[in-house]
Amino acid sequence: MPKTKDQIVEQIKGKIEGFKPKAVEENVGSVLQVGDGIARVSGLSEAMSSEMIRFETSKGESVYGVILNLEEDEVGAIVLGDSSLIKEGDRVVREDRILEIPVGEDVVGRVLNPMGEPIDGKGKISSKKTSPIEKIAPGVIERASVSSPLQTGIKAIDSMVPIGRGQRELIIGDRQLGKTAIAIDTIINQKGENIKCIYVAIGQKESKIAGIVSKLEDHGAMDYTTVIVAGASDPASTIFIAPYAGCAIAEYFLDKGEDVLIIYDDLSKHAVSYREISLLLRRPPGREAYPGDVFYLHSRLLERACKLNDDYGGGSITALPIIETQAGDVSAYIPTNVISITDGQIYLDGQLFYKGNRPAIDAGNSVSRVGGDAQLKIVKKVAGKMRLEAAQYRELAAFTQFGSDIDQETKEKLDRGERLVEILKQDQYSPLDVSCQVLIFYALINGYLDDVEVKDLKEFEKGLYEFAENNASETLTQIKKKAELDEEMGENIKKVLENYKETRV
Amino acid sequence: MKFKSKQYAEALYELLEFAPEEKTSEVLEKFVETMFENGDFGKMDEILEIFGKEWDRKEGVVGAKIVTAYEISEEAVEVLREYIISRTGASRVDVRNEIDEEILGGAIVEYEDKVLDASLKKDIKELKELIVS
Repeated sequence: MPKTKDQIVEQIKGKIEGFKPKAVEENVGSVLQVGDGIARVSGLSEAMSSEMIRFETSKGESVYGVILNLEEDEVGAIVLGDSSLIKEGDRVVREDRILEIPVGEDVVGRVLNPMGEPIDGKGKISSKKTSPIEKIAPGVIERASVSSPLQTGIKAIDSMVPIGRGQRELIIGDRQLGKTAIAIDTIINQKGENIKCIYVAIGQKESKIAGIVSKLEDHGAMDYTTVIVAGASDPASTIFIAPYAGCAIAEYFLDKGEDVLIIYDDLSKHAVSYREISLLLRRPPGREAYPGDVFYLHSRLLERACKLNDDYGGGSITALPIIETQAGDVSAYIPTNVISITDGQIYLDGQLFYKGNRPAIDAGNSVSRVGGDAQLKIVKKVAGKMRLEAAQYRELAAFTQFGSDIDQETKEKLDRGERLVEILKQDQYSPLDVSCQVLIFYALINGYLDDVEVKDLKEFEKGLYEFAENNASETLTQIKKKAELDEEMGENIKKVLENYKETRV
Repeated sequence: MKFKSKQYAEALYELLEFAPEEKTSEVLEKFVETMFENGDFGKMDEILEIFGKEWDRKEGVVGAKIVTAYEISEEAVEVLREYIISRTGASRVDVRNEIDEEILGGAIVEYEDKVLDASLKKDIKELKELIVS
């Protein structure tokens, strides 16, 4: 703060002296047509694809747009902002850069729109650093294979479809089966794991987003989470850029060598908004009226999720895209596309859901193509057997549905399977630590649960975790730290289970 | 078959280019007749506009607008004309001078889809942004 008026005058003078007027030739155009969030502009002979343009409206306000089509005499652009301000004949100026959004540490804990402007009423983003929303994904040289796990805290996922840091795992299923719930639980479980989370809401109802944000706040998850919102009432252009904007923020942390989890909820709506834009721009429609490059739309986005090798900082972006199917039809255009791009999928099944198996993860149809390598050894050992038991149970259950007389061995397998299904049930917003997961899985495969009634399992489980935390916290930390199932560890776990069972008698 | 205004304009230019001087009116007559037959006479205004542009492009004529705050001398116009020729390689530049006191000083040169804003108004605006920020 300057003290005297001379200082103030001096300061202003200095600024004026530093000012060098310069005239730069600009490439301009004029609006031919505007409507439906699309503008057609003449002129702009030097325009480049996906370049940013500025509409100089008659009210003096500037509205920004992005060029998508370069045609013979005109360009087609999407308008990011209020297109009603733009009139025919308004001047359009090239910005000479690709659309950028602000990135930095202070976006964490905030709710932003896809242009990077805060919409949570907590003040401006002060970060001066910006990053282009479209970037080419890291190449072969920069990458490493997925090697460390990302714990979702959901028993059914961590055991049977494990996710590694840098993986892309699709969550797919009909509406109202808990796709978002899995994503939110995963975010909540990253507390203290030193992972930045980004939740991109694409074309979601604003009320749902508000609910999610408040739930994240309740669980203290907003401390490491950024929410990008393109609501259902936003124009298609805004919805279209939302996942790329989220990814740009993720890449900021990636470049710093941090681990990031990003959730795209959901890419079906993203494809629909891109279809809308494409049809308005008169691009030829293809299957299901989607344009020809709808595969590239998602592949270029999901390829940006990666695990970098140590020479490039060793950071990772784990992507959990969500796809909503119609009546369980996974062979529609967009679901098959995204299934083929990702490294596996978590398939949610309606019948399981209505039977009360929640999360309704269909273990038969869900796979993780790379997560197995990243799983902790101890989890891998106990869960490997579980996977086998689950598969056998499914087969037997279908087979024995009609017959009543079954031999002893089959009956044992069925009983085990019933218990397995029961312990995979989990309430929403209650992710479970990996050490507790190991305890219960170990108990299952070694027959410690065989004498517990199925209806008592839930209560048994709850008691077990409490008991372990109070009386055997050392074993729990060891499971996580050592992460290997040797004899000593096995003995320790056995002891915990036996001690606990004694207290229950 | 439907033709676009641009196709009409290009056809007209090519017809006139190759027709000898004395046949010009005959060509025009036939052109208008064809337009009538095709039911495209309503596009006449648009076609003429595109034809004008096409003509200028082919002949190397560039139309330019120079906005100044007050009358400027012929030499100053000549300097700007040279500038436009150097940028576009045009053989002729048709300059139209407009007076707009709002811009305070300097000049704004507009040609094709380019604008060179060297007005005092813009400089002051930029200076303001520099000081305020």
